Amino acid sequence: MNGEPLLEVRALSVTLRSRGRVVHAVRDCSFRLHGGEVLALVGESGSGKTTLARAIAGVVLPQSGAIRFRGRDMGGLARAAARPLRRRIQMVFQDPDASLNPAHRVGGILAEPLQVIRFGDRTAIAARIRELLAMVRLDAALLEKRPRQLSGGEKQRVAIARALAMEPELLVADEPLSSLDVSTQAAIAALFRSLQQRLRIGLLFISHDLGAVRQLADRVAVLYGGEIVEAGPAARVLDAPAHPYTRLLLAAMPDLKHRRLDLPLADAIDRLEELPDLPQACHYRPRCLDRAGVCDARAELAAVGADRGHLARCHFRDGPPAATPG
Amino acid sequence: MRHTTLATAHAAAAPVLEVDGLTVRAGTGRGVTTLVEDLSFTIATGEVLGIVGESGSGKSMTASAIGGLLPAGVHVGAGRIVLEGREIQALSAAQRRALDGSRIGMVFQDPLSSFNPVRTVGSLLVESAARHQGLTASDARRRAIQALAEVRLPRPEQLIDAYPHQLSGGQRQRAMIALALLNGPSLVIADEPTTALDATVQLQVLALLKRGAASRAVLLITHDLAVAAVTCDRILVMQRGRSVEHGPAARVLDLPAHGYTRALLDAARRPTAAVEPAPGAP
Amino acid sequence: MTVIVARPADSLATRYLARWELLTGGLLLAVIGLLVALGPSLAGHDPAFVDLRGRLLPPHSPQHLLGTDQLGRDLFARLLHGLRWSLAAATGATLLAFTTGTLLGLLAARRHSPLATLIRQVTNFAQSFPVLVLAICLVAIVGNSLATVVLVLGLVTWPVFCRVVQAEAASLFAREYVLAAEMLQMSRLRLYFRHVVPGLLPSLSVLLAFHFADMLIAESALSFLGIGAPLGAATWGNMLQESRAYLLSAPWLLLVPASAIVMLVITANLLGDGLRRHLE
Repeated sequence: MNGEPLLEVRALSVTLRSRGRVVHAVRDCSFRLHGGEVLALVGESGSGKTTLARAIAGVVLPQSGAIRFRGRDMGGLARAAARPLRRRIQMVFQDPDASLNPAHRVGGILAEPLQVIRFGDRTAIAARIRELLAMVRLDAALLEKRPRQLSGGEKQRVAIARALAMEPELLVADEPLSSLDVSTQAAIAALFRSLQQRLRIGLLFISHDLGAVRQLADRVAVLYGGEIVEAGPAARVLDAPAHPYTRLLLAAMPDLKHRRLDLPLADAIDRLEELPDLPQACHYRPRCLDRAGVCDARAELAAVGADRGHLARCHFRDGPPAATPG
Repeated sequence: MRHTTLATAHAAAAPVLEVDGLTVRAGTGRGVTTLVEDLSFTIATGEVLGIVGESGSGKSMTASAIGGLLPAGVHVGAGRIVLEGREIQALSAAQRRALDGSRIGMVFQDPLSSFNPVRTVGSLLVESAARHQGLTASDARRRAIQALAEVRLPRPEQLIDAYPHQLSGGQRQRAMIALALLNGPSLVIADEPTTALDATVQLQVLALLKRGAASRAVLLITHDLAVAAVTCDRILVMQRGRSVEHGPAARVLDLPAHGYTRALLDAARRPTAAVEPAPGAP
Repeated sequence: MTVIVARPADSLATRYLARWELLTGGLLLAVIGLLVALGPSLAGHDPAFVDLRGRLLPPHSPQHLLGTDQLGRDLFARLLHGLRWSLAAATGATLLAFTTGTLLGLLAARRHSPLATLIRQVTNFAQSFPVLVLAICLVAIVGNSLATVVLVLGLVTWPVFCRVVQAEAASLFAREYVLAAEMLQMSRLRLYFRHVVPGLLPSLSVLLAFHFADMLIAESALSFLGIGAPLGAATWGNMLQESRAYLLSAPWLLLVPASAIVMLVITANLLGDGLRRHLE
């Protein structure tokens, strides 16, 4: 992981306006992604992970901060100059029913990116489409079909093939598994893994499913309220979480091995008293099971123990507070 | 394993719900498709039965058939559904409606579409309590507030006058559960109740259902084996409209007899080095 | 989740109704087309030929199928002449409103664009004017002619298309398949024509049919008020206007053009409604 990162996000903030209200969807997020690496963005709905992904993909404008791709500041480039760079960032969406034009055939959907980049004449395009289909393990017989005639997994494979047609260096996948059946999820996750390794693509994998994250990710960043609250190598974050939110996510996940519904945890969440909003306080404090007096002042994202690759935004990142409030 | 013995003891008593040879079909004449075929199971008080399957397995159609909510053009082709000793198919429409509100409680995947957006959350509960329990308006309101408190919604006295869009997804789903439990049903059917929810909210909702099962029978429909594993006493696995495996949760999860159950379990366990299936796989 | 997508019973009824509406509408349209093609010659009279000896003849009179008016002019000939006028005015106005409205609507649907905001504001402003009053004022200033009617009705009613196109296109721009297309960095033109415009066609075609019916009525109303069409010309609005004095003595003078307007509006509505059901 030496050398220049493929993607560098620096102090990125995105503000969205919905019905007159201003929502700070992404707040001061910074991270790096190297080529051939998988970074998972984890968080619940409303945590800002989709907005962050779309800002990186260039379909949402950031409020402040910088997105550097291959060392160039995407915000500072003119449209025409950004175009060839932007083509190297592609996205796979959650629901292939929505991301594939229902009126087009699979052949047309896959030919379009090739026509746009003037890949070559008809024969060249047809050959390239066959190549793409083989990469996502689809049969050429599907070319004449429309999206609605395909299974969920097949549709998602078509969406992946369309993204691959642009020969991306960075693939942003926004919950690409969550609309699929369980057995299909495992297959698509495996496809992502093998493609990413074979083609040395940087993969930004957005998911709320920690099982899929464990399967795919090299590094994990956990988002809460638009902020990164914990980041680090997947093994560290998932096996030795330092932020109470990460711990809660892991504990709340139903587990096939232990098969126990954590009723005391559910009770503890239910019993949390509501807290007044304090501007200086930790954003997670109202839902935190370990909160204490010091949480009235926010913690910075800082190293956990001596591990400089593992960061957490919590006063108690090196151990729980002495007494937990009841 | 105390609760296993308990469940066995309950199962020996008369079951709350008995489904026998249930077949659900869509269409008429030549265009008939069978969505559920020859499905049989029972659920006793104090028991959670999980029906697990992927999309198209017929699990939701089973729930709809029992809850009397089959879409137009879909009908029960054969089999019996017996609730507390009464065969549901034989009831008149009016008897059926009375039953659905009082003896069966339903919880759906998307609580937003289950609520009327222009009416308060409470109005539905008050109306249901008044109709099925014969309460006066003020008593029904008190009962509704109590029901919201029982599902641990904060400030139920204020929440009862809130509109559905003012609640979070998790709060709406809990209000839905409050409505389902309001009239003390003997059976609760939860159809993918946590699919649209975040992990922590899912835990809270499953805890409510599990606690609710102490005094009633619960049918949980889910695509997620892990959700079934932490919640259910027994698991029935469906594939293409048929039951392929049915038994105590521990047995189904530890010693799956059917290849499909094994495949689902393998997929759900997410091996780190999953092998890609050959072309043509889903 | 297993969900049965369509309710077979409903969709069957809808399909049947759509087919019936399209069939009837199409048939009426064919008849109208034939009448337009043949024109006043079909009646065997000049629509402007005055015959004071044969005034106010009732329908079914010899040589006058629908009778004559207060100046002895053949009603059938006048009706056919008016049909051409009305269709020309309504078609022209509809196309003008459609072109202007759709182009501006597509521009207004863009996110983060000052031009889009400007167009949206202009549309709101334009739509708050009472259409008929505005049309009357404009025609009064510019003068009576077919071109004026087309221009005025078209320019007064384009916000209808702009609104619909803007709303629908904006929702299409939020669709992920359009986002995915944008990420390919294709040209604007290609993005619009491959992914946005095709998505608009269903609602646009329905709107076209309904707008055409509206324009028919508006044109007749204008010429009834004595603006738009030259005075005394054989248009349906004029015919209605002139019939007022003979409402009791010669009611057919009113009934003939009135039923013609109703028939034409029904045809347009049948086609629009059938199209809507068909595309659902």
